[in-house]
Amino acid sequence: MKINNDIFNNILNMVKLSCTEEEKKQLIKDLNKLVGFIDTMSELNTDNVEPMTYIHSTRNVYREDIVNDSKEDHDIHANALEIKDGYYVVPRILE
Amino acid sequence: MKEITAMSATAVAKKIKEKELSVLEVVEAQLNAIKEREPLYNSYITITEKEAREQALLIQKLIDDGSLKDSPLAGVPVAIKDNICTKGIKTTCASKMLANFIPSYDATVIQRLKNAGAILLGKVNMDEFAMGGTTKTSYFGEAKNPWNPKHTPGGSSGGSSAAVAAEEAFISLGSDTGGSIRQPAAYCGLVGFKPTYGTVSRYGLIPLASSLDQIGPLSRNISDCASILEVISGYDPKDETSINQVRYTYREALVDDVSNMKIGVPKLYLEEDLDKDIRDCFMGAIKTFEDMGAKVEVFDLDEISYSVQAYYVISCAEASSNLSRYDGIRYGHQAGDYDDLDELYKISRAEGFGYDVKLRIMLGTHMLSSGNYEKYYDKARRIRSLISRSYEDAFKKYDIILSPESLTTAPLLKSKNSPSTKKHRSEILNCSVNLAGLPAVSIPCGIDKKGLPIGLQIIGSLFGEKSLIQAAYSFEQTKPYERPGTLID
Repeated sequence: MKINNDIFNNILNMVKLSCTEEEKKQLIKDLNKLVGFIDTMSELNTDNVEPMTYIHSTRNVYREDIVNDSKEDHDIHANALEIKDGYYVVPRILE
Repeated sequence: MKEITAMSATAVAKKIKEKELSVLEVVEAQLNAIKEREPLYNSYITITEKEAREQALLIQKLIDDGSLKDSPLAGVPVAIKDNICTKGIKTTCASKMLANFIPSYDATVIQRLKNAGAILLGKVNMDEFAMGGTTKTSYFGEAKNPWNPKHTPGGSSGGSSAAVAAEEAFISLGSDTGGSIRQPAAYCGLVGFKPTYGTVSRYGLIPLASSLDQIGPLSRNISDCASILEVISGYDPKDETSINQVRYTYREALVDDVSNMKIGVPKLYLEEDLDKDIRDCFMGAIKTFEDMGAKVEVFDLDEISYSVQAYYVISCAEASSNLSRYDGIRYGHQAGDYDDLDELYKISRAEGFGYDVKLRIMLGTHMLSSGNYEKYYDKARRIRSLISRSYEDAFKKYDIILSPESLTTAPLLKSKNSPSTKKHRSEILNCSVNLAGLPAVSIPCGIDKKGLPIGLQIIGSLFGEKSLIQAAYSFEQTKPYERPGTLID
């Protein structure tokens, strides 16, 4: 299915992006080109093939629950624009 | 200056060990080369001049008191791709989004390099968030190929390749998701090694596609490559996809002997419409291996034909998820003007990301969204199984597989970056290896008529690093490293 205006706006909202009309035209064009290319993979028969996510078999990883060095809050917060009392400041979301 | 900076990493480490050179002398020579050549090549985003000098003095003491006698890299200056976190040093991913981001911790590979006494020279250029093959999407301007500055050094680890080829670093680290170490290494006439998935910890590597990403070195010869691989490889509790192996003794494999090796050459690479020079070099390389006593056989590996499609789906899907962390609040670019939280996200991300990043995030999310998941993401993962299985079958018969690294040499920087069938087919050579998690190395195998280097790819079985190193080392004996003729001394 071709990516039309509605589908595009829906993806744009899901990925939390905004764009100009000009950018939008180019993105729709490039997305459809890529999707068209990707669609050719349907030619390959994959019946009875299990999907694979990781190369090595997944396993549970257990460890002792030991307290160790965690990052200094101060260092991590240094990259935020605004911090108050050790918390990130965001625009009001509840009235 | 050239006498020092043109040396290999292992040669300079030896001189330092034998007290013929001090660490500071080496660092100063390297900083001079950087100052002189950077206006031409733009390999670096950040040069850590002050820290490098301080580190040089500290490491010299440790070398003098014998603490680093077992390290193959003590005192050797290295360059690091700018998507690998360095404590207190800007790590930008070549993006406006992270232009001022300063990590509060070191990636595991950085910690390991520091422990081995390597000196960090700075952070090198790349395509934005490692998405691309030219460095043209870097927010800090493209890097140039030292063999001819009108051409791309490749990508996404293009700063890593340009810096080492221009002798602005002895050795560098890059990252490889779909060829991003091997292709730039080939374009700049270097050795570029992508280890088996799980060999090197990804802790502190800013992720593109977590199931494909792997850190690896770019160097001027295979001995340097084996040395740095030994330093950076190993299990890390901070990356549970890293694998616990008993010993990573890659230097033991620096043996000039392929007489017992069985080598496979996939038929589809012989049928490709290769440039004549590339074909001649590739056929020449096959003959060299035969002359050295290896048994070479052509075989079918057609299952990998759909690698690029599967790679686009999986890498963009994972990238769209990984890049959702950039919210304009905790770190990264923040919009100046917004009305509510939703707008803060949208404007910060729209301003912070470049076009290619936006395109891939949108494509990935589309592939994962309701109604598309099975058709695209699931299908791609099934193709990934097939690719992995067919490589597994091939390695029951062969020790290594040979292919050209790329169907062309480094393109002109001004050439249009449009997807072409030739480019897609070129990507098959690279990304099928990441989908199957295999190790692969690109080594120089000749020069084309434009004077640009040609790369040969050697692919190994899972954890078959030693066979790769042995084959590459043997080949290198017949074709020693050539520095770019255009380098000013």
